[in-house]
Amino acid sequence: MDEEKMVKKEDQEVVRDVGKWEWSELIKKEDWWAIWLGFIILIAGMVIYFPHSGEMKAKIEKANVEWGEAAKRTDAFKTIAWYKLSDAKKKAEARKIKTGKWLSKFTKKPHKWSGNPLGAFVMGKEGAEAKNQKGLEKYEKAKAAEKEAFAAAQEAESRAETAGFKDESLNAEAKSSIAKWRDTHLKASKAKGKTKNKPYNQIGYLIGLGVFFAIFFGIGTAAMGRPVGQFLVAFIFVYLITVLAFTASSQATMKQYGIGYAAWAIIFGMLISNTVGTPKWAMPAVQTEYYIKTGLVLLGAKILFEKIIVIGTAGIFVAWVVTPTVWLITYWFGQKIIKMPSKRLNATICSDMSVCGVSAAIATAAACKAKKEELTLAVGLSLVFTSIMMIVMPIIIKATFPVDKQLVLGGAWMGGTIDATGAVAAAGAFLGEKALYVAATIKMIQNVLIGVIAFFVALYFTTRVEAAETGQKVGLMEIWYRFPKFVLGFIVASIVFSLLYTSYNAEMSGLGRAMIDRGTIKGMSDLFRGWFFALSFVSIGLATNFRELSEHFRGGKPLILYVTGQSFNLILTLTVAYIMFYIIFPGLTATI
Amino acid sequence: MSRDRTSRDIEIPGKEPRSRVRAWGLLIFFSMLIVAFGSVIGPWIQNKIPTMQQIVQIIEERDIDSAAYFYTEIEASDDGEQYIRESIRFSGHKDAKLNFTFLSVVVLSIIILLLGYRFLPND
Repeated sequence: MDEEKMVKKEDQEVVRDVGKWEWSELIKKEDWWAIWLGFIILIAGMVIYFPHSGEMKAKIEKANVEWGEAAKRTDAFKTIAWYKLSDAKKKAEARKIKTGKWLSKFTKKPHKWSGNPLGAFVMGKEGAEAKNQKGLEKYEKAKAAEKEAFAAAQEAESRAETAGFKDESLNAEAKSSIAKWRDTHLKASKAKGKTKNKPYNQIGYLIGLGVFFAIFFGIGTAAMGRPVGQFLVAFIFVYLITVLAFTASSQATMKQYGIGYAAWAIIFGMLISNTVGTPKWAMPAVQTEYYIKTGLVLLGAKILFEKIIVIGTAGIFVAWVVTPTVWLITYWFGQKIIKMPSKRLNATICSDMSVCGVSAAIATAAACKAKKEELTLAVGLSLVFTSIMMIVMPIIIKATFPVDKQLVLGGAWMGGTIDATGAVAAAGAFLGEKALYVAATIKMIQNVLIGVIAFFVALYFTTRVEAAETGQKVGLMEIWYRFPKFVLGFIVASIVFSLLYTSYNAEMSGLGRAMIDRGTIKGMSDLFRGWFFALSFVSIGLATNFRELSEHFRGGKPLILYVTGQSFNLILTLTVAYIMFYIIFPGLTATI
Repeated sequence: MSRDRTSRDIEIPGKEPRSRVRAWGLLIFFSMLIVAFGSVIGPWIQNKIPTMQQIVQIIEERDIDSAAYFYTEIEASDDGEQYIRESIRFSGHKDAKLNFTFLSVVVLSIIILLLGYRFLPND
């Protein structure tokens, strides 16, 4: 009976580890297979893209030669040449090589659609032409507006230059004209993209990708001594639900609401498991831990430490001091005041609320070995509040903030508090381009904190919480036994790619972005990571039932925890952002 | 009161067995609800909230993936990083470098976490 209970408990956990070490674990345990599989993808990315660093260097060099000197003429405002240089440098992306383009096509998720779901998979020549025609009118309009704004910007800049960039009012006029040109430029370039639709048929690629994933995860399954034949058959079912989840998240309205693949994967999984039931033959591929850990190792490669310097001390203070403070105080509040029944649920909610939503929740849940239902609940809370905050926060900022502080202070406030990156961008864009950039940058710096938080959570739960639960004193070896090993892969990936990113940048400014950000990460690890997380969320849904989920929600404690923590987060982030950007570093703020 | 089980029932862990027809009926009903949200309810709510409408327009115009979970998934993060990095680089501002103040903040963040590790309750 006890054994039965134990098996049931283990089945509910996002990750689980047994407290002993054997060398055979390196090929028999999921944690290690997550590391091996994750690194196979990362190394493949390096092999594909790294030989192209010379081409990228040449592109950046060409941009510098063309625009570099002109861009340096003044620091009174950002000149047209400054923006031209920035645009030209941005074109250097390793993922744009032939193999990169093919990889992107091969791993592409279903396309955006509105009325007919078939549009997610197939679009004929006529459909593409109709879309292009529809976009053409808007593009022509946007192009004309850009041309006009560019002429005005050139004229204003020329006037400011004639005065040696020393006339304040002429400088301000030029700055404003250039800002207007950038706005129209952005609109025109996005409108242009909507006239470039090409026919597609994604079905063949999706089948090929499914076969690839089945073999990819099948190898580890076989090595771990699990029945690989059953896994392969079952994987078809899990993969189809995953494709369905991506299809739903690609629907126009769902995209506008910010309801992403994670939500749909859980919803579809739970809908099946709680109505007709998950078929028994599909269970061998319901492997939450396996997919999630592999995805997390890939996520580690994106935690690039040089990113935290981007917006200086002000930015890192908002993202790296407020966030852990909110995390710890909310966790303490959850344990001591509202007495959360589960420490792991408490930690997972603290992370998704204070760090960055779904990705932080996944990393924390895996690091503290939370139950599937606990991760589902935390993700659900985050998605609901993200949608609300995405709409309410810009309204509050517009209505209450002084006009001169709406963009930077408002952007920093939203970037530090709204959970999901996409929602941060949407809310920031509502206020203006500068707010969008500040908000997205603060969120990016906060994203990097995931690795640090996940490591501390794993350490705290391994050495403190589990020790208290089992009543055993934890020695160094015991820590090693229990420590979730995939976290090591996550950290190693982060360190290796941070070093590579920095060394490329040391070679030439912008080369790190071209080779790592827009090369191995965007052109390889990102292409697969989304699929792996979606597979794991489908698995969570297929193994979760409403009754158990509602038990975790009993008394509304998770909601109280989230609301209290987020309220504290909103107050502290706003206060600290104001102090940092307007009292301690006003010069930095003026530069942005 | 639970009904008698039949061979046509579907068994779901933690739940009373339910008839196959009811189970499939529920699945179809909830699926239709999702379709209705995407095609009717969602757009209707959007039209009722002006701010939501404005945000949707911006999302469409700028092609923002509002469902993105990580910074590498949206172009705005890359654009923002480039914009701020280049702005600060050209101005030569000293507060955006890896200096003593910056490193102190990183150390402060780690100290906060270490304090949490030391003093958070185990129970």
